[in-house]
Amino acid sequence: MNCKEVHKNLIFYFENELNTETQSKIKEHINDCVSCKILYEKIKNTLGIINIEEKNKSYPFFFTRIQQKIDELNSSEIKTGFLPSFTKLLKPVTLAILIAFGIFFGINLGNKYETNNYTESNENLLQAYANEYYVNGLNEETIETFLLND
Amino acid sequence: MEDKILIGKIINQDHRAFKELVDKYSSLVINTCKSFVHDPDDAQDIAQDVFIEIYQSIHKFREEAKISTWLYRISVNKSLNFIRKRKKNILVKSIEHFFLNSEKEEIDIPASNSQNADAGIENEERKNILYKSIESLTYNQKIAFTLNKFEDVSYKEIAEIMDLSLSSVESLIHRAKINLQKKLINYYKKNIY
Ligand SMILES: [Zn+2]
Repeated sequence: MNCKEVHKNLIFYFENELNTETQSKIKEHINDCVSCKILYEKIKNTLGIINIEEKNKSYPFFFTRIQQKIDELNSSEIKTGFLPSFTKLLKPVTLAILIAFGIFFGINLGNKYETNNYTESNENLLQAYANEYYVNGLNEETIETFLLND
Repeated sequence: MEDKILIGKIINQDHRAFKELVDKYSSLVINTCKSFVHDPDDAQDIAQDVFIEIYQSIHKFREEAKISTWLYRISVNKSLNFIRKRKKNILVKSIEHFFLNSEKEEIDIPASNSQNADAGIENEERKNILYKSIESLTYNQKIAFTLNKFEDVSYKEIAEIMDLSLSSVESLIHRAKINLQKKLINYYKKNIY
């Protein structure tokens, strides 16, 4: 077995999910190959983090906090009578701010490209935008991605 | 008290029954939230909201379902929503940076220096790379993998929680492992050799 094949199976080797023959072939390889051994140790220790995450501490006042939150919710429901007129006013104001922001942002972005000042921070920003808009939502796995992924 | 009876009592506004339900399932809910958000305080806050949602919608609960399935589902939804909001905050911060024209602030994994790093720092680095890699999985892979690996939820219950077939869950977890393996190997190859 070569290194590449070993790399493909390290996680399954760690979880003892391979057949006995493959398990022992990988074991043999790891014993002889320093770089695969190091890589395996790294993967083993990293996945080991899952088992050392702290669990089952006691949580004092947990129920009391829930009770408080429910009480707050109940009392704010009574107060909502004041809210509609307030939100009516708030909506156009928010919209105006958003439009101003959009224009400002647009001008700035334009300027950036014009001066050819495409820095890494812009790239980060665009990446963050991309993540926000394309990785958002339920991202259901369709049959297509099923077939394409691997 | 059996869950069915407990739920019936909560529907009838029995406060003690609600407390009993919270006591019985608080660690399940808190730990599930924590395995997604990785912060104990955030996990507790989210878990409180999970129980509030249960309290408010208990009358909608279908009797044939398991309460734990329902609790897991709400915990997962609320935790992932929390992460989404947290990401949005990072976006806002980077917009602020953009306007202020300041130097870029790293939100990446801190560079490793394993030679003189002590065990604590090494574990922090492992956590970072592990959580980042899990975060990069597809939505469904992340849910299935996290529930199974962090919370020991069986494939069968994951199928119920996610409303998928058993074989879809198996395949999700299998692909999650392959993807994680790729990420980890890429990362460590760069940082070892
Ligand atoms: Zn090798």
